[in-house]
Amino acid sequence: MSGIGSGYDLSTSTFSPDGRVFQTDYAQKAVDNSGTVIGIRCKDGVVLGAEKQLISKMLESNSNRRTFPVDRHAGVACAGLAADGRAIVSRAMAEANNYKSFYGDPIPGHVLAERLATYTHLFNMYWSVRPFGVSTLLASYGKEGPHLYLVEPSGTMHRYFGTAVGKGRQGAKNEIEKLKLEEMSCREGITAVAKILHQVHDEEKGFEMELAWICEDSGRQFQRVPQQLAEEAEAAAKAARLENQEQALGKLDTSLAELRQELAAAAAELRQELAEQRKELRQELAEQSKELAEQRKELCQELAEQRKELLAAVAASEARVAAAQKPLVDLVTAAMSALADSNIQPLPHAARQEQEEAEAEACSGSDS
Amino acid sequence: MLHRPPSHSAAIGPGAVPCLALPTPAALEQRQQLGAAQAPSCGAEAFTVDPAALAGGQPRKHTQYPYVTGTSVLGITYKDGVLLASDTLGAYGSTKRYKSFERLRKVNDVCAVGASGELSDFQYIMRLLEELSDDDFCMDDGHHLKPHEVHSYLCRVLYNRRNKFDPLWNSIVVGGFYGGKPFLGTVGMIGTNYTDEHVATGFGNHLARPLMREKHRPDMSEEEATALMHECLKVCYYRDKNSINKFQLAKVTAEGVTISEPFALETDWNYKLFANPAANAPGTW
Amino acid sequence: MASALPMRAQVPSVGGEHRQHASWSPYDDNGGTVVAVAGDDYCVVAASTRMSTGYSILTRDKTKILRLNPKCVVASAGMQADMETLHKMLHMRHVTYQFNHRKPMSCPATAQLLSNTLYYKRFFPYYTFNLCAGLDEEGKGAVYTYDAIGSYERVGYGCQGSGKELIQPVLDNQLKAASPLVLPQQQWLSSLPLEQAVDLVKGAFVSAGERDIYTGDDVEILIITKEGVRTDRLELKRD
Repeated sequence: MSGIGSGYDLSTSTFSPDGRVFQTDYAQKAVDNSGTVIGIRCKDGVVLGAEKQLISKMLESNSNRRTFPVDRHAGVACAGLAADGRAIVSRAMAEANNYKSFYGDPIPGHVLAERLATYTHLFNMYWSVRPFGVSTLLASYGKEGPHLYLVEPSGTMHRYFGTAVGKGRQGAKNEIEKLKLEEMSCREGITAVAKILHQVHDEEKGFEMELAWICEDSGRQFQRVPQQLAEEAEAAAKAARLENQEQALGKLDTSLAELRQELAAAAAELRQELAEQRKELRQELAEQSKELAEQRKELCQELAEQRKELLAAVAASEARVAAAQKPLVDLVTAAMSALADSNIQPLPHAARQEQEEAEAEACSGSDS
Repeated sequence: MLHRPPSHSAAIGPGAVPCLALPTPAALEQRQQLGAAQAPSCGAEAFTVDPAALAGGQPRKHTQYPYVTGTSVLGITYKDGVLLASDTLGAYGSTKRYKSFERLRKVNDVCAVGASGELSDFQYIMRLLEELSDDDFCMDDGHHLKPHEVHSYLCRVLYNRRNKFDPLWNSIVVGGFYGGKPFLGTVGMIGTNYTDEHVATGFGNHLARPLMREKHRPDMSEEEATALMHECLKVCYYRDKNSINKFQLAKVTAEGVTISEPFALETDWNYKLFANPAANAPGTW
Repeated sequence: MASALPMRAQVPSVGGEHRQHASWSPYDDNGGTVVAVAGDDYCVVAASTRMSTGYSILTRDKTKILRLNPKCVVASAGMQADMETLHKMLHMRHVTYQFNHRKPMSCPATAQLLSNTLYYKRFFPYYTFNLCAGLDEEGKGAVYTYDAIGSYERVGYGCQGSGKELIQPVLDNQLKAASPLVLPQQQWLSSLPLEQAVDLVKGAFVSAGERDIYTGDDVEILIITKEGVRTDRLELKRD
């Protein structure tokens, strides 16, 4: 229960702070996930069409109904939870029957739509129930002419020239808007509906199409489109889809070629650029190595000079040492010779020390 | 599928039929729907007046006698179908009150009915049948009521109303063609019923059936059957005070149900006995 | 039809006092006779097929016998609508009995059920006069005879309906039933061979058809043995 919005989706009896009833929204989502169902009002009647996903390969065709008559002059097509749809259909039948027994006339389309909307709406009002996950397209043909209504899970009801609900609704609506419904007969309408259903069906899996209509051709009774007509419409739709696909394929081919060309051009450009960069880099490299060689030469020269200087310094100090040694050597030589002459025994230590001191005194005296 | 209260449940007899799943908490509880036929689906009380409330302390009284009545309905089978015939009079006592009342009606593609007796009751019965065939239409599975089922249904409805001492004051003829065979049956106001190759209600039983017994064959052609029917109608018209010379003929064959436009038959009132019916019957007046 | 309804004087009318306009009765007598004869190992059940009201014949071919199973049938005369309802009810009960017990209902059980069903409508009775007939658990012929409100007893032979007064004495005479007052109780099953019993029934119907206007047209005869049910048909006068 933290944050705005959370905790407000548990019941239709509570608004969220920003004014939504989440359960109702979710019900609408259930509808949005179902197979596409579309309806159009032509000049002489109404056509309903449903795209039924094949839930199993073992499914018998024409079971799993999506369109239902609710009276002789009215019928519905349901998108969303099929079971909820049955409940709606049942209620619609009851309403139609009830109206007829009370007023003796078949129920007008707008009354039936309104009653269905009211009924649907009631399930948005109490915590103990959930909304219907069903949008209902209602086709009727009474004294007021052919009408098409859409009743949504929220309980809203509108009359349409043509509309679509379910997965492919957006594409289908776009296509419906392109139709000239005022000039179209229901015969043409079924083909148009079939085409749209095939066009918006985008899964690889196949689907079963269900078409129903109410028009002069059906004796103003709501019924499934006769099998032969439905098959013709489906064939036309499939052909149209194939053609569309081929066209799209052709377009893809040309764009692919264009892309290739573009790609090649781009690659060439890139290559050139690369070569230039390489050249520049090489030049730079050469310059840098030249510079380095010069620096090396300079450094070598400097080193040689420093060595020469050092050698000179060494020679000088050696000469100085030799010069300093010469009097001493002379003295020693003289002393040796004198010693040898006098045959004097070497002095004891104390005497030698005195002697050495005297000699050192003499040396330093001569030095200074 | 949700059960809804069909208006015939009350007619058939006691039995619990679940009422509409009304979404309001109060209505979610099974509520006894009074007069389900008239109960608005919105859940409001039905607009009905209980006769007991108007009786002022007297016990409730049901229909004691019919008001607007139709006279005989005739029916015969023939080679490839069934013919029903009646006049178009709705009589208020001995007043010829409604002269274009169509008493032969189509039920579905294989069945038609004709009724004598109280015409308001007949209209109610037609509403029941219409509801049934509308249901068949809505189920959209190709199934429909067979003639013998319609007959059996009407037998139960009339018999059960008789059991409630509130009869539907009709004798009904059911004609149909199904499975390559014609069906012809009738049921009276207390539920007595039978099927036969020819039937007639009311005076027709006395006036027309002897003719039918004499001339009817199950392998008649349509022309023969129509001629026989015309003859029977004529006899009924000559002798039945509560009839008029404006008839309808319903035909049920493999092709479906057709109900003719009203027509009149050639009549001849110049017999001497018509002018003076007592001439050959001394002592009468 | 409405005008044809109150033709018979003995039909009780609701209200009582005389009226100018049509009144109605919930009852009608559609006539008809049913007979059953039980033997040691067979049971013969017969019913006329005429259905009348007042002096009018409504139809000549309306069966009055409900075949529940190969060992038990119910035959009823009286008011056709009540008869049909009763038969439908018994049929339905027989079907559910088989769901519950996985066997057909025996003749004595059916007899008790029929009694209960009639008595249940004690205060608005079925206007029907019934026989329940067939073979009992030992394979012996069994006939049960009823009044309209469910009193019943097992007998060796029985007759109900409009021809009862004409046929019953003949059966009493021919089948030589011992008086129920004789003690110890006497064997009441017919010792007649089957074929003779059938002939007796046919003869009885022919006689009744001569005098009773509600008995005629055809007689539907069921011969119930352990081998099953055989049908026979006797044509009577169509007057």
